[in-house]
Amino acid sequence: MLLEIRNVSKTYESESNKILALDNINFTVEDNDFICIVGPSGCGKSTLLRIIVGLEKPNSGEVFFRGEAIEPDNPKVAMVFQNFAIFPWLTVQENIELVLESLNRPDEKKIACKYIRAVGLDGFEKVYPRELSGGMKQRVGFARALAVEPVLLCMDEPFSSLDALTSQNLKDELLMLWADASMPPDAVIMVTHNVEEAVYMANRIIILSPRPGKVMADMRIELKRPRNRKDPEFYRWVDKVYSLIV
Amino acid sequence: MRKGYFILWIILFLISATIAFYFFDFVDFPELKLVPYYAASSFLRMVIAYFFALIFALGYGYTAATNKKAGKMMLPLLDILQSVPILGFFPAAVLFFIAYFPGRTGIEAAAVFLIFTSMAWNLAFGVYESLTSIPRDLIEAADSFGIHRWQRLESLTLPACVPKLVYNSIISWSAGWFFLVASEIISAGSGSYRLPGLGSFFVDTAYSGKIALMLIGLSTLIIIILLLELFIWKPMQSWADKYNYDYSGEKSPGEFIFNIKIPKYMFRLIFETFSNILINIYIIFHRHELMKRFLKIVSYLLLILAFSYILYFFVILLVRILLNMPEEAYSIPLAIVYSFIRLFVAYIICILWTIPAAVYIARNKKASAYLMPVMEVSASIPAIAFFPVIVIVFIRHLDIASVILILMGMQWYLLFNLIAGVRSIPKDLENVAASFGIKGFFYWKKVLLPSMFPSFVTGSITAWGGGWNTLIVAEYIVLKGTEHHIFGIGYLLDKATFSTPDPDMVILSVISMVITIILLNKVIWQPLYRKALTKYKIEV
Repeated sequence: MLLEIRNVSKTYESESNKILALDNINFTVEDNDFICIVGPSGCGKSTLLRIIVGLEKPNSGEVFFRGEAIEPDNPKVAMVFQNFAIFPWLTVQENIELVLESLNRPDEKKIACKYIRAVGLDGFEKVYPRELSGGMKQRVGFARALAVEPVLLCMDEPFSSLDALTSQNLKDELLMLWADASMPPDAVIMVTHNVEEAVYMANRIIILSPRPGKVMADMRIELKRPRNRKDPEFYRWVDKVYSLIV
Repeated sequence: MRKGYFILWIILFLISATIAFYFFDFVDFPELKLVPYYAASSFLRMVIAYFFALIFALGYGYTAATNKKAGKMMLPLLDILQSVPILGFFPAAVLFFIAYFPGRTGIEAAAVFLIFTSMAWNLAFGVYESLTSIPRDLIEAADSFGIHRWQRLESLTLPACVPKLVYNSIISWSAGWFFLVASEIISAGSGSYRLPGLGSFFVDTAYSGKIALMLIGLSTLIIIILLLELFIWKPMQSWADKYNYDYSGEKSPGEFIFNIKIPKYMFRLIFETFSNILINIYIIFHRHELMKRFLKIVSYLLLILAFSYILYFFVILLVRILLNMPEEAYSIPLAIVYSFIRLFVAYIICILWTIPAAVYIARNKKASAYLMPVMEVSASIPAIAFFPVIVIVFIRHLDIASVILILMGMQWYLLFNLIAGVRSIPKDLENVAASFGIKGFFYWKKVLLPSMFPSFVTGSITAWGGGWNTLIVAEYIVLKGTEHHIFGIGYLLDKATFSTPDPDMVILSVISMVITIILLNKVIWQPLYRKALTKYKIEV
């Protein structure tokens, strides 16, 4: 067992009222899982992911990574952000080296180059982010997260601000990295509102209910890889997930 | 809400303390009776200067925005005017106006002119920017529906100026207060050219040791500023909001203390009367084709005349001065170096304390809930009002006093810009730092400081502007009839105005100061600013 989410609840307090965002969430993540968390917008998916990586504290409940309480700077867990969140004053390479330096990894240049190549950004090492397209910026985000060689990769709607073609390419590359035992990551947790995307990528889908978010279903997608979007079987799974959300 | 009441208590305390003093200490301090008169004359100067600044801004901004040829000349000119240290011109303005209107009228005119210059450029920029940034489709819509001439003025041009004019008016007023108090303080030191007002009251009371009286004057000023904020600016801002064509519609002007509900129709009434007057003027002049042409020719003639007169004046003046250089003129470069060193020292101190303070205040919710309103209030009080106190404490070490005075003229700009900068760092970048364990020195160097860079540059530019202004009151002080000074450009200027009047020296000093400032802007600040706009810009 890689990760355990135990009785996690979260309330937001505004001046006048309290809103229960997450209500007693429980599930575990195994070593080779590719989990997609889906649900209608506002159900607390992103909040849950932020709690999983330790960026936010739940009001009650705990998250354990390999038996220990999660800390946000755990180098075994890395995060990819929806809006890229790369530093505009650092080049592509410096953005990646930054996280390696802060972890005191030796050979930071070599590792950075390795992952720049892995996401197909070779030739852009010295370029500043403002000169990159959205898809390329997100590749920097992936390369940065992969460069710390995490066991668990967490992603918050990483494809939602990209065009269809770019995101399809990135998805396939990501699936290859996940399937490759010699490359990180071992497990992936991805938040998305796109059911097709979830069925295409995940081996487990966790469906959250509308506010307050609760685990409504935790289902295994037993489809052979590589998956084919035109396969009727694929659509049966998509329909099944949809029927559970609505 | 709690912080709101906190401020409210401060105001109430100030008001009651002031009133109490009025009633109980009349016998001891006969000067007190004059405080309302002083406050009224200070306020009146502000209102008159603002009125002229508004008229100027509408005319200048409108011409620069609609007439492309004129715009090419007018904008760079405005840019230069904006970077000029306004206080540096005060001595020159005094000499100029005194020559034409002797006595009290001259000095009053000089003060109003000074305040006018601190308000006008910024307002004119506001008008220009709002006119040039009217969305294209709105203009095209007006064209396609045949909205022309005065109708266009009423329905498009004037309303488009409202949000920026209101916002920039607030800035202009706080700049105006600073220069009002400064001009009164300077004139109070001179003896012969006194300006009765709160600023001179501070100086008189502080220098004669009546600190309690000075505090009463100070709290009167604070009360006026706070009341204006509460009853005019904040309600006006929320009224002006509806003229914003920002469709995202989230920008509400945060709560100041609590929102006073001033009926909106009051502002609308004022605005409509004002715009009706303008529209009528416009209609009268545009009714006949002949009239229009005549007007155009007359205005061009006037412009050419004005320019050639100024040019002629300057050339004659420069030739005369250069042919007959005053001995002292050769000390100007050294004086600028001395003053620059003072500014630089103050700037370093400024950086050292404002950066950590800004990070702490912006990050710490409790601290910012209590400190921000206090600092907002203290920043709206012209820092220069505290000068007499510092002068009294440090008069024996004027070199230290001058640096402290300059510091007070600089630090707020930097602090407030930096706080805003830290606040605007996107949450996601913070999350990256947290989730990849970027901490300590490394975090400051690679994340925090670079993301503060743009606000640091804008803050520094305004801080240096404030610093150059403060020099004029920091290097030359008259305390109880004796003159205290340290060598520098501010001293040379003041001396040539007040103790040994020498118009040539005043003009030479002002010109060298302006050249230095423009050079510094071109060589240091503009490149940094460009870098801030490209490399360090955070896209959201």
